[in-house]
Amino acid sequence: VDNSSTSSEAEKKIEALQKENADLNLELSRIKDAILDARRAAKEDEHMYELNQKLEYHVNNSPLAVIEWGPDLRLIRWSGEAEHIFGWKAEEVLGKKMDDFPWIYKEDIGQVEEVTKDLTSGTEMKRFSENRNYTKDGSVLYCQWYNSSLIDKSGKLQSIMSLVLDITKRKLNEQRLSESEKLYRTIGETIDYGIWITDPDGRNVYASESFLRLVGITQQECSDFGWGDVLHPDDSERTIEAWKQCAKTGNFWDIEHRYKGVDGQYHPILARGLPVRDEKGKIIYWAGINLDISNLKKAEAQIKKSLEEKEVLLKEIHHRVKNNLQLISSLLSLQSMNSDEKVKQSLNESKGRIRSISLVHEILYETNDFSNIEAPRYFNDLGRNILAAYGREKVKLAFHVEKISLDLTTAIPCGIILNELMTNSIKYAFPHGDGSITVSFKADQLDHVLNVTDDGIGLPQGFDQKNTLGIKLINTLASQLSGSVKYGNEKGASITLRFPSK
Amino acid sequence: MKPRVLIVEDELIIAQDIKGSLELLGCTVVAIFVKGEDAVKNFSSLNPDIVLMDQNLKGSIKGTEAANRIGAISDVPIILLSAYIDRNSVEKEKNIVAIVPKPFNIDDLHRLILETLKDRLQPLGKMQA
Repeated sequence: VDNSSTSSEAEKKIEALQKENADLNLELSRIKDAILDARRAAKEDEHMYELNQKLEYHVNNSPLAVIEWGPDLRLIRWSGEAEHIFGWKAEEVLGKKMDDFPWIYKEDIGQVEEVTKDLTSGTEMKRFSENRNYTKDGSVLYCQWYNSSLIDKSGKLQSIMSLVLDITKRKLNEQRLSESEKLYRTIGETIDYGIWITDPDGRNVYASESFLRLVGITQQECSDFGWGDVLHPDDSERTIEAWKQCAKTGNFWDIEHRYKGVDGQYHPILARGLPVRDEKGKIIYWAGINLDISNLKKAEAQIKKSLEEKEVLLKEIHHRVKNNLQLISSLLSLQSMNSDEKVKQSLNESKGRIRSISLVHEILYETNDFSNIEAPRYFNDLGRNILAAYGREKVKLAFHVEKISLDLTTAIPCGIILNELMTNSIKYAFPHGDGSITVSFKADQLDHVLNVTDDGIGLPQGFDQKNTLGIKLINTLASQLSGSVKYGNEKGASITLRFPSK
Repeated sequence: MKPRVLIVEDELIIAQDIKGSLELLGCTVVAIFVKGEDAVKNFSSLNPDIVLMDQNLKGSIKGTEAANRIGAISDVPIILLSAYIDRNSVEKEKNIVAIVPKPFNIDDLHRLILETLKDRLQPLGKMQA
């Protein structure tokens, strides 16, 4: 047996097998590595995928619309918010160019094209712009565009991405606000001296054109308290002091003062204002108006003057009436001078009645109240007058007269009745010359009550049935007052007139 | 001796009333003027014992001014007759002895005249007697 040859063959075989084994091991580790690499790569892909998914989610969910164009300026991204703002679905616009569908506001197309040019050419990599767009249904939107462009090393555009914010609501509010401000300014301009606004410290921040024009100062001068310089010198200090006080306390501002106009005249102005407060109650502004009250003042002065003139006239008339009554009284006196005793007495009684009337007019013009006279004053004067006329100083007079105001139509009948009653007492009650008469005048709930009581010999039986002029006058005038008379005796005569107080 | 009275009053009917009443009571009315100026001008020739002067007169001067001018030439007493309205505003000249509000009682006025002239008329009477 060829052992040696067999052994060498075996060795060779072993050698070969060992080599094969080593190769296989190498191959195996290579495969292992490959498998590991593949696994790693797969994991990375998975990670990337996840990241991408997240990003996609956020982009799609962004409250700003996210819109992206590819290198050929065709739309490659159109987020949920983009659909929401503009109304077109992604599938309707993806792949389209900017002017393939009507979403840029006609007048703003030029501006948008310029921005696009800057971004695509790489002149600007970031660009903010604001322009109007249309929605799918044709309404107009105000949008803010935050644009970014990506350009590769060779200078070729890769993509443009825009974030879009719909500011239509804010824009409309601003517009409405500015319209409303314009409205108020216009209203202010229609008022002479217009409206004004100051800061919390009272410094003017706005005055109507009409004010500045009429007093001839600028807004700047007005803000520097120049309005104080065009006030009437007599009003300036008082007004500035009051304004400081008002700004401090936050009270309603209400003052009358005079501004010197460019016409050189002083104009009376009524200024009014209120503090404007924030939601915490802090004063943030003062706002108010200036009202030219020249005409009002003129009218007021005119009315006052006319009233004064009329008062003088009324006074004059009452004076005249009184004088005329006195004249009549004198005529009766002259008449009585050549008459017999009976006529003389009648004329004298008439003079007494005239005096009762004339005294009313005298008191009216003297007190400057031309429709009412106070009962105490009238009855007192009348009573003393009657005593003097009959020269009966020994008769005592007492008055208990409440402070009741009587109009002319009540006072005169009352006065004549009092005249008759007192004259009667003086003539008949006191045969010895002395005695006392008490006059009282009161108001109860419904009536006025006049009472004349003396302590003389009392009324004779059937006195009120007598057909004398005195009794007739008393009864007639009592019924003119819708009242009644009661004749009676107490200590002496006591006669009561009662009439409704209206 | 009858008191000799000068009346200055713009309302002649009232003046006549006063004149008639006073004369019935024993006075002599020497003249009636409606203007203060006329009273001043004719005063010396009339030489009355007393003057009844209304405050409101026809001429350009008031009763008080006429009294003032008469005061410059005579010490005759003057009684001022006035409407109530003037009573507070009247400036009382020295020779105005009383202010009598209108309307007045003629007996009161007569008494006032006699009272005022009591000291003046009696010595004169005595001298004459």
